[in-house]
Amino acid sequence: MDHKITKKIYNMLLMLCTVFIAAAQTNTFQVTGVVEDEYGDPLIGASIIIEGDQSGTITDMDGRFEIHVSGVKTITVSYLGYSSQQFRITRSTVLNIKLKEDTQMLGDVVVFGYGTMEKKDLTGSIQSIDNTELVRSMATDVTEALNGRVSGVLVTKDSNRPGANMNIQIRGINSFNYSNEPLYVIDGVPTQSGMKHLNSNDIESIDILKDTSSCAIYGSRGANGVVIITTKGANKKPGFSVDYNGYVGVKTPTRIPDMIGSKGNGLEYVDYRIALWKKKYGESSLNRSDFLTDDEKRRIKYGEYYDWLREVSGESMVTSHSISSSGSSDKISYSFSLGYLKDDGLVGKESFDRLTANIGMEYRFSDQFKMGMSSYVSFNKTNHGSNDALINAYFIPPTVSPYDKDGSYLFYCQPSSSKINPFIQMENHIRETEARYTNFAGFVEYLPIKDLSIKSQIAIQYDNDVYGEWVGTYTQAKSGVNEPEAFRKEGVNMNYVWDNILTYNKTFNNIHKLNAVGLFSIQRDTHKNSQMRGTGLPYESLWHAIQTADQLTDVESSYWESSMVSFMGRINYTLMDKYLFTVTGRYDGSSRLASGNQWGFMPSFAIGWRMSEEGFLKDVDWLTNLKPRVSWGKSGNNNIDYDITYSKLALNRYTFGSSGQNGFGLSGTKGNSNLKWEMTSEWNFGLDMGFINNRINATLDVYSRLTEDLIFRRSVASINGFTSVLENIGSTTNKWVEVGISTVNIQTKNFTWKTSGTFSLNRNKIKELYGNGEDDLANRWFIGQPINVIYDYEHLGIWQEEERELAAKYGQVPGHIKVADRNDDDMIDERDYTILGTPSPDLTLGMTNTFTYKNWDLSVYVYTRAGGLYTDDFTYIFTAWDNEHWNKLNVNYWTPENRSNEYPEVGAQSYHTQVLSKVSGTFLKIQNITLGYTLPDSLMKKWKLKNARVYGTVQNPFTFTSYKGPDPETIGEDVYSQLSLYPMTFTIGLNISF
Amino acid sequence: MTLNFIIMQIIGKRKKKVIKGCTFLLCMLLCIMGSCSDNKETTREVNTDCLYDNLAVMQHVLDTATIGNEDGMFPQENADELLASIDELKMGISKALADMFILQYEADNYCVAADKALNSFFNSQQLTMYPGEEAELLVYGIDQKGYIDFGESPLYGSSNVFTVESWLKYDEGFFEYAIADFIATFDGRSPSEGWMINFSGSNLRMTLAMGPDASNVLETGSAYPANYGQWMHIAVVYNENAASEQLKCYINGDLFFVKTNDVQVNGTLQSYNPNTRSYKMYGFMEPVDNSRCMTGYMKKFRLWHTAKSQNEVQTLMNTDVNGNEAGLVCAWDFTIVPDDDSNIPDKTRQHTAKLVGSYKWKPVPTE
Repeated sequence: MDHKITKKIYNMLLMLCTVFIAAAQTNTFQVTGVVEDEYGDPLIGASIIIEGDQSGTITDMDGRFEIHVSGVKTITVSYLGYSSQQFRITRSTVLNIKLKEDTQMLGDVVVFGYGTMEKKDLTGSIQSIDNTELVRSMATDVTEALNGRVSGVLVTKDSNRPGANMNIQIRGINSFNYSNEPLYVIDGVPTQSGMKHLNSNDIESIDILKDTSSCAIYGSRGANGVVIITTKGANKKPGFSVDYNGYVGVKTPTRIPDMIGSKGNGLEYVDYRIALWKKKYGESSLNRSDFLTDDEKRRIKYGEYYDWLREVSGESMVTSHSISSSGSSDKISYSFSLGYLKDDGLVGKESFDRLTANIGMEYRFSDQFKMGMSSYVSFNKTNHGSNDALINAYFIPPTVSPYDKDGSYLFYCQPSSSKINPFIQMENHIRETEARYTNFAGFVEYLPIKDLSIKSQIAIQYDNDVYGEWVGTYTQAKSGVNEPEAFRKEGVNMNYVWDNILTYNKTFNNIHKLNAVGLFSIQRDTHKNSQMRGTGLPYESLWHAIQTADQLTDVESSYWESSMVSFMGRINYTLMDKYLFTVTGRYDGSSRLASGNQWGFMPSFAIGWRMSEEGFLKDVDWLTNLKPRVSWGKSGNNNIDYDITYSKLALNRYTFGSSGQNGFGLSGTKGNSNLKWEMTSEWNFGLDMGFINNRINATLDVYSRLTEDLIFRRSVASINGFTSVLENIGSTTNKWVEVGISTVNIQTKNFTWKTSGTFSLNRNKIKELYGNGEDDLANRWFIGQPINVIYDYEHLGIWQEEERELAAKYGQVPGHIKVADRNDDDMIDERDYTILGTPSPDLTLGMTNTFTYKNWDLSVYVYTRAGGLYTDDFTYIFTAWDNEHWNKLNVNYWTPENRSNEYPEVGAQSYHTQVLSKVSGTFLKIQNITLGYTLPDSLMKKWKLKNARVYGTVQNPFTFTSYKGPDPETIGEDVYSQLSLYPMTFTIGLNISF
Repeated sequence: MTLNFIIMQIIGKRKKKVIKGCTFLLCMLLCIMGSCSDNKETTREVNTDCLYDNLAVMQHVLDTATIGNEDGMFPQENADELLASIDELKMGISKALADMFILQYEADNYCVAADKALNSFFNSQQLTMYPGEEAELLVYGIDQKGYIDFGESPLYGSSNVFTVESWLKYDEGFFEYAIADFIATFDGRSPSEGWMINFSGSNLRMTLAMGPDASNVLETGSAYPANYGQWMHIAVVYNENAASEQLKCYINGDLFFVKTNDVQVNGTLQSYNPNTRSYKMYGFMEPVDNSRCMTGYMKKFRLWHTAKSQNEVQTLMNTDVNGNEAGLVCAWDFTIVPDDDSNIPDKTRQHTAKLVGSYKWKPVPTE
């Protein structure tokens, strides 16, 4: 009985299977074809996706594809930068598909925090920069690539040494005492770690949120703007591909400052020295034995001079290799990349090494449920180079030799100049930072109904850096006589973020498009730091055996943490694809403020109007896009100290006889539990325009930003032991305009010329300080002026011979610096100070021109800053100082015969020399010229490649500036620790995709 | 070349012309950017005429000078010095003949030394001045040859309120060092202490050691008057009790410069570091760093522990003191030849000065 039943069931199943198989065989259609562009060129890697089951394929080297479709379905053919096309498949067929380029689609999707949006629907001021542009900038630190490529963004760098820090300002500075750096969000993890640890090849896009309306979704951390970095690991593309991008370059110093007697013109230096000594000490001083040593005289006799800057610097290499792979199937998408970069400096051991790995994975259990993870790991090591080696090379005159006749170093400490031999300094002063950065984000996403998504993501960021410094005896700091010293400092930061996001996306009746996002987020960050210094180390142990030192100092350790709870809601509503509305509200609670002020609500709204979609503009052929928009928002600055509300005890050490004792007393600053966030509100008026089928695209933003409740350290009478108290007082404004433009100037089958550019102009002002309308002269803060100003004498020139009598009235003589007696009291004193300018550019401009001819491409990037007045120690030291044994810049010094009006007489010991340190920040750089060649399709097909391009790049080939130092972008660098030369880099590289 | 080769292999020979053109342009570009050769000057002609000229003059002076110990004569020791200088100059001429001079200054050095030797010899011409005679005091401070030692007293550099006033006269080339002190208690050892009226470059300056940080100074000045051979009255007033403009200097009663104390990092004003190690006060030389010296005349000198106003300074420059004035620390009049150059009492009878090294009492020139 059982056997019969079993047999029947078996037969039924067999029948069913046969039926299904037959049915399946009946409804499977073979679709083949080719995908080409408008010119008939095959599109390699175009994706063909079967709607509904998400499976698909991509085109091969000839643009051909083959796919099997089960049943009647729609396939979508798409290619980045081209309009997608859909085909209803009802039978086996051959398709010859021509995709049209869609300039409107390029860069259309913008990441704007907790979601993405099509650019046409944006209401705020957000600018994106994609991977191609980042990679082509060849910037070791991608931060630098934003300069001139994103309007409203100003990136300043500490130095041109490899691994030097960069700082970003978005629409100027708001805060007096606290950080003006934007918030970075890397794959959803908010961080203040910057982007130095990221490999540009791993970055899919960087989206910069500039207006406060857009930034308001980040609430109390958005006041300085938000930089959202999306790595490739977080995006999944169909198909499988392997990409390699690598380059090798040679760096050579350019714009080496012209020191007196450089390039072998040693007699020029000797003349200068004679003039200096005669003027400073009198003619008979030339008899002194240290005027010129016998060795120096011998070198002069034989024309043996040393160009110290060129002696200590030289060519170096930069190399980068990145390989990434990504793939996708029905259920799973994944990506993985590895990158290595080595950037050697121009002087000594300066270098920056970085190893990066990026992984991303997403698994789709069903149409409703998926989970995924991404992780970024970066290790980098910076050798900061020696502190004084380069500045000593500037100081030491060309008559001094670094070597003796045997090729050994001639001196450790040069007797007359008291300068340590730069080569010795490089060996004996070592500074390194080893940094590790890791982030991990994992998420689950569930769609209970079609348009509703619930996503929960946990992200952890860990970063750690160890700084070590060895200062040997033969260093400038130790003067060649004191005991060695070692210093070690370590910081460990952890950041946990749990985001829970509810997203509702629905279009009603084809005219009401709604996107609503709700967020509940918890964040906690912890910070551990420790350091110690040892003096008098017995052997060369770098910073790895500080316990052997004679004396330990600066021993410190610290821990602090802060946390935040946030609720955020945002609604984007689009009516009839014309009228755009965005409303956002974020409610943040922060542990950094005291109870009662911990919670703050930061709202924003924005509206946009796609006028070009209106009937009355539909017939205007040349107008493709016209969208005015207005936004207002409010966000805070959480970049305040964690303990700002507390009054603290300060540690003091007291000495009793031969022993010490720790004691605690009140610190100088009184905490204030009533402190609130510094709050920024901003109106932004924008206009997006597209003309002639988007051949010309432009974006104009005019903004007015107000930051209030600035936290000030107000000085108070020292009655209760405190000398200052923190208070919310004062306000600043930032106003003006940003323009972004891109054009397709010429487009033919073989030749294209495209231009893109940005223009930014920001004006920063102090609106109020202490509420009484008074300036703060001690801090150089003036109401109505920028936060940072140069307040000093006005340099009129140099006193000339015919002005001798007038000069004498001011205690000056011809050849001395002439400054303005602004109050006409016949005295030059502090009352003659005036505001001369602000160390911030009046405007910045960046422009890229890209030319393509057949397989060749050429791009030229120009970056310029105009205006801005800076205090530059380099210029000051090497034009104002008259040390009898040191060298200085070869500039136009005044002599009775050479009536220069720029620089005073050598050795005249003029007063008011500080005016020489004030230099203009104006410059124009042709920063990058790249010539590339993409291999012809026939070769790629033969070698089974998807893409292959070789290129050569020259970075910093031309710089136009009046600045006497190497690089006008590093004006003001710390001459004793960061002084650097300016590299010009020649690179050849290869992009290849399989 | 290698890059060129690789690219050509890849894209085929038909592109060779294009590549060659590009390479040529790139080379041209690099050449332009790398800048081109300079015409470097490596040798100079050295003119030695002044050596021979000076030799002739010196020889003539020595040959014609009357050597002896009477007025109008030149002491034998000074004649010997001049003779040694002539020998030195001859050494220079020998070097010139041996083509050992590389640069003009080396020849000039001998000529400058010859000039100094001649001046020194002329200054040695004897003129007897008797105690009680009206005279001017010239101190040869250059090369640390002479100075006025005002003795040691904690009072000299102790007060943070004081006025220094004196009459000074100098000739061109009155100092040959970066800093030349007129009157000073300054001690530059860290932390520096005291004060100095000094000359540097083109400037007459006042420098005060300031604390509490070790190496701070309050220092300012103005171009010194080029009124060579003319007496001028210098008064420097320092008043730490003033809210601003603590330091003022007057020349002949007119304000010469003014300065407010610098501010420390913590926002408070710096304060004067009084002398605690060295209590010496010198004229024409710094008591601790003797290289800071100068040559000049001093007529009257007074130190007060009060801050004089401009009106008071203008009055003082035209009046004498008797030593009993309130706030007067010390006062000397170098207008009459003293009985003992190594024991010159001041008007307060609290201090004594001595003239050290090379100096000379000279008759007061008639108008």
